[in-house]
Amino acid sequence: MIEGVSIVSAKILLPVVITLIAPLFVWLFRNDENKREGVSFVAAALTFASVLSLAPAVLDGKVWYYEVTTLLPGITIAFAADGLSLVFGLIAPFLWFFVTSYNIGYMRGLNEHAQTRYYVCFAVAIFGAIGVALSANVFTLYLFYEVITVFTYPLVYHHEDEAAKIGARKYIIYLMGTSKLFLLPAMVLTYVLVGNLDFHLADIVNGMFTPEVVAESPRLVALTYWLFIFGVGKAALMPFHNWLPSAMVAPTPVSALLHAVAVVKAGVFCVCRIVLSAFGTKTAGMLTMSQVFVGVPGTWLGDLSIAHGTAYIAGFTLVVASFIALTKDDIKARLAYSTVAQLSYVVVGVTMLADSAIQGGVMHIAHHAFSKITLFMAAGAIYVATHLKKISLMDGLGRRMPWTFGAFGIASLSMIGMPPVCGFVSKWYLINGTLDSNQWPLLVMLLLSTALNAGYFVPILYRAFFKAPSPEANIGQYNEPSKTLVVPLCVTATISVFLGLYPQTFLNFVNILGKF
Amino acid sequence: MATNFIHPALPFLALAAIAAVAPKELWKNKALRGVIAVLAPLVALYGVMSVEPGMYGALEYLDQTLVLGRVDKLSTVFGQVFAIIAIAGAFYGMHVEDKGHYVASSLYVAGGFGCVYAADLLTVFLFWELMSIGSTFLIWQARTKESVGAGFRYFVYHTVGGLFLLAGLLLKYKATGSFAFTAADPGAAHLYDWLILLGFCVNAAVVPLHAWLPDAYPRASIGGAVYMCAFTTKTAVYVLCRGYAGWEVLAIAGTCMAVFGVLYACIENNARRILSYHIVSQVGYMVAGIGIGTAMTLNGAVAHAYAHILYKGLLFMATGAILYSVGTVKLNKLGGLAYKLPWVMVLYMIAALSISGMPLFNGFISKTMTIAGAAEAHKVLLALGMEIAAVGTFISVGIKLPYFAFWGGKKEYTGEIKPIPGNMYVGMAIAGILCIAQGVYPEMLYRYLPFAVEHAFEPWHLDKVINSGLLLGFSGLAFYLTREIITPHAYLNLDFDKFYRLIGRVTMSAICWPASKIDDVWTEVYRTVGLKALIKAGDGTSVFDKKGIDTVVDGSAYTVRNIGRFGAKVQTANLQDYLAYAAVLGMGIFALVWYFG
Amino acid sequence: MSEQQGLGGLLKQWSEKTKTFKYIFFGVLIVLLILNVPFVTHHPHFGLDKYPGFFAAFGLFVGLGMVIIMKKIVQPFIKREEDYYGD
Repeated sequence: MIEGVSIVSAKILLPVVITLIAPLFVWLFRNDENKREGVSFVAAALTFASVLSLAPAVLDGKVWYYEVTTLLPGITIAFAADGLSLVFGLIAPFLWFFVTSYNIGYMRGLNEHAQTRYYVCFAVAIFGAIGVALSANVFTLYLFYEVITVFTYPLVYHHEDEAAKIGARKYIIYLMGTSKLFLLPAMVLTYVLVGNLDFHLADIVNGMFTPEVVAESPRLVALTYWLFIFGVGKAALMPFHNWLPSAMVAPTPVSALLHAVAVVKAGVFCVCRIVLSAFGTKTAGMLTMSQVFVGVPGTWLGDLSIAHGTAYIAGFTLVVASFIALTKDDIKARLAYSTVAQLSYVVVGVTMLADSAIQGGVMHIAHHAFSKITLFMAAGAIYVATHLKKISLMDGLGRRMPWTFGAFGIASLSMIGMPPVCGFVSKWYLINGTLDSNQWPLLVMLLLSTALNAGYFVPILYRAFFKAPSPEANIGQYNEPSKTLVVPLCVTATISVFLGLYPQTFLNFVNILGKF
Repeated sequence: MATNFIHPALPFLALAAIAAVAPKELWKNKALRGVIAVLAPLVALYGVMSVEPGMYGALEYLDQTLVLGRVDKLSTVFGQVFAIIAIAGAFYGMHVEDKGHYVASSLYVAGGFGCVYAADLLTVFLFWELMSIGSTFLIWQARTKESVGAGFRYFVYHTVGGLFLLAGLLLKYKATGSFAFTAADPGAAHLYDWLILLGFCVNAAVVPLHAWLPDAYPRASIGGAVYMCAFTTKTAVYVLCRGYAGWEVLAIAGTCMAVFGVLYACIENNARRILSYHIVSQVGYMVAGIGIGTAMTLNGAVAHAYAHILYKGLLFMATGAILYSVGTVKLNKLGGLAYKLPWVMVLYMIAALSISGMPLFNGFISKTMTIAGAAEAHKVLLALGMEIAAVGTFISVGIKLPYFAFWGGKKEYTGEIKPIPGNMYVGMAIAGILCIAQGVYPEMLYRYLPFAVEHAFEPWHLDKVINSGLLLGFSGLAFYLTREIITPHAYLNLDFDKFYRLIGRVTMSAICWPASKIDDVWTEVYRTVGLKALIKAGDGTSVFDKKGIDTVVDGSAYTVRNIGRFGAKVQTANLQDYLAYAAVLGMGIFALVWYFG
Repeated sequence: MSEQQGLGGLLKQWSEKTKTFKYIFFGVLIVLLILNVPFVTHHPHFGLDKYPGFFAAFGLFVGLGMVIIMKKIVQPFIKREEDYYGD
């Protein structure tokens, strides 16, 4: 039993079970292309529906819970669903549905090999994502986190050439390295300090670490916190962010769903879960940097709370990643560094500990997902239609592919933070959060990143629409790619605008989570 | 008067939506798109004139209440002139088939109206960004090589300006708890007031933040420039009037702008760039008037804004017509056009005489009000600066531009001349007629001025007329005497934009590329250092296993044997040796006990 | 358009008569100067403008100064080729 639980029901297992058996069906239908893809569509729809069915109770203030088995005293495999779970749990299968259509267009358009392995791993990766979203304790979280890592490796390695080998190897070394070196010891330390691994789901102020535990060994608790933060390599905080651009060797739908949605969102979700449900805003705000021997007590650095310290690391990440993005000509590399920066928005939000900052940060998990997936899908669509990857070669292409670039434009506005697209809403809350928590340098960093985002997204657009193409490029031969590619990205772009006008969609879940 | 308020931005948003979704074939019909395009500003004008003063249009967004419709004398007069120039612009641009022009200009105009009627700063910010996007696309609509880069620089610049505004309004909200858009007290200025002022000044093209204007406006599309010369800067004038009346710094900045603009206009070659520098100059009059802050100068600033929209719009329309028919507006390439485009010349001269302040045209009734107000407020230096600017205005826009464009000592223009569509003449005529009408019957404009003055301003005193005539006449003489020197040559004149571009270049080379290179090195560290370290550790453990552990096991056997050998060697059987060893050993133990005790 | 040619033709005829326009121009200037003596402003803004001919001198000298200083002194320092920025 954990605190704050109101409904014990096996209903919460539905999404987990569906995504567990979906890969089996994909493999079963390996000889019939259409049936195989159909499984993914059906599974995505069913998973989304089953997660959605949990929503009314959650919006009412209740928390779902179910324990599957106990391995050792205090170590169980258990699932729970609260507001935070649903923010992630809803977007993963929803976007999986659209990416499946996109997958079909992409994989068949390029006549890719090993498609069954691809779809199976995709499905298992979503299983991992759902598991992370619905995990009730650190052990379950860790388990599904590693499932995602292991089963996305074949997806990154898909092309099986030299570049893929290097990229995939780096991917797994970074993610496994951080999880084994940092996350695992963090889990062990938590168990030793607290006695169990269950998240405190009742509120975000108090965490698993009771005041007595914190008073007894503050340095160890602080150390555990930092091990957790750096252990979640999927959140791409500097200096452990390099796996993300290297994972771009994967086919674009993989980049789209997994590295814009499932993998990286699992990462920042874990950070949110750890800060809000494992430590709580009180503990995270109480322990200072001096307790991990960074800075001397009495100085600004020494007295900075560990949460705000994380916020500054994230702030540094978001500014530097934006600077680097300005230098990249490969469109996927530019988008990868943009993702690194945007993930840090979530981390900055949730670690500033102010109400509006947490609202902005958690909402951004969803808002960024819709906009980023549009951008990656557009990049992939451009590749399928033209085999072009470099932005400097895309002059004038927008007039041949107006829908693709139009959707890219809307999603870019969201990244920059222009009203009325959804990125503006989360940025608005984040900026209010910096004011509420009196962190002026973070305010400057957020505003600076707006200008930098404009600097590296707008040229892509104006060159595509308004610059005359060079005659050698022979742009006239290109046309809009097939509908299976273009429709999903237009839908996600439209949703980005919808979320900007009706931010209550995800704000309601956040408000229930924090009881704002 | 109706109690419901048709917000003038609404018909323009509708026009943008209609233009966006209309089928291309349908939009090719000039009459149809002309009617729709003119209908929007007419509805807007009706909305502006038919509503009672008050607060309208409250909206909930992001946990805030936004008030979209603050109707009072100040917003009404700006709304009125915006709608009128939009009508002229709609006629002028009717021949454009490109749907993008209508979408962009409508969004832009809607943004302008939204800012004017906003009662809180958050609404101002939202419509400010809309204006920025709309105008950026109007620049790109020109579809020339220069317009591409110019639009991007314009967008980045205005985004940064908007961020200052955002930072300021958020800090103000944190300090005061409300977003209400009210006048800021110059005596009790806070950081947030300055930040908001900075954001407004970017759009008002205050020197040295002005360089975006002569960079972007000459490169905008022909139809788009007409809107752009009116809306961005005059919206900024409006918000400054609303929020910063009486701020001394604006009085000084405005006078500097007024003189700076005409100085550059004297040496520029591109006709539209001359006009762009003139916008900086004329807006300087308005900003100075707002800075001085008396009722007379504020009225002067508003009147000047009204007149300026009309005659500047006409100037851009006329030069746009030249650009359309001849293909260039570079003065060194023009000349002798008076006989080929006589009506363009006439309409241009109406606007030129207005901007110079010639009696019988609307510039006279507004400019003299501002200067008189400055003098009455005892700001002699400012008034002097404005008179200097007036001289420069007449010389550059009133004589230099039309002389070299339409006459220039050439008998007749020899290049190709495309016929100008009739709708462009209609647009120009609307503006031109109003310029003359207001000049002859100033009450037409004065009755809408928002601030109450102690004594009404009478422009038609004989001495004022004579003085203006003398000023203008002898400035003309100065031109006549220097007409060889002032001949334009095709050069680019450096302005503050050299610094902005430098910032961009320095950022890229000093920050971005080094960061990227460091990242490129760091990204290999996992392999070069990390993996190697891991493998070495693996080797190390195997070495430890082979050498270390085995050695320890064997070694302990060796050591025992060696100790035994050593022990054997030490047994010298000499008593003094034994005593020496014992003494050393004893002292050592004593030292240890004493130290750690 | 015929009106265009009409007005254009008219202007062309006038352009033959440059000397006449010069006389009219100088004539107007002299008349205004003379009128400035009785009708000089009684509320001087700058102190000096209560003298007749102030604005005439102001317009002439400021105009001359502006053109000469800008064109002959300032522009040589700040002028560059048209494609200096490369865009």
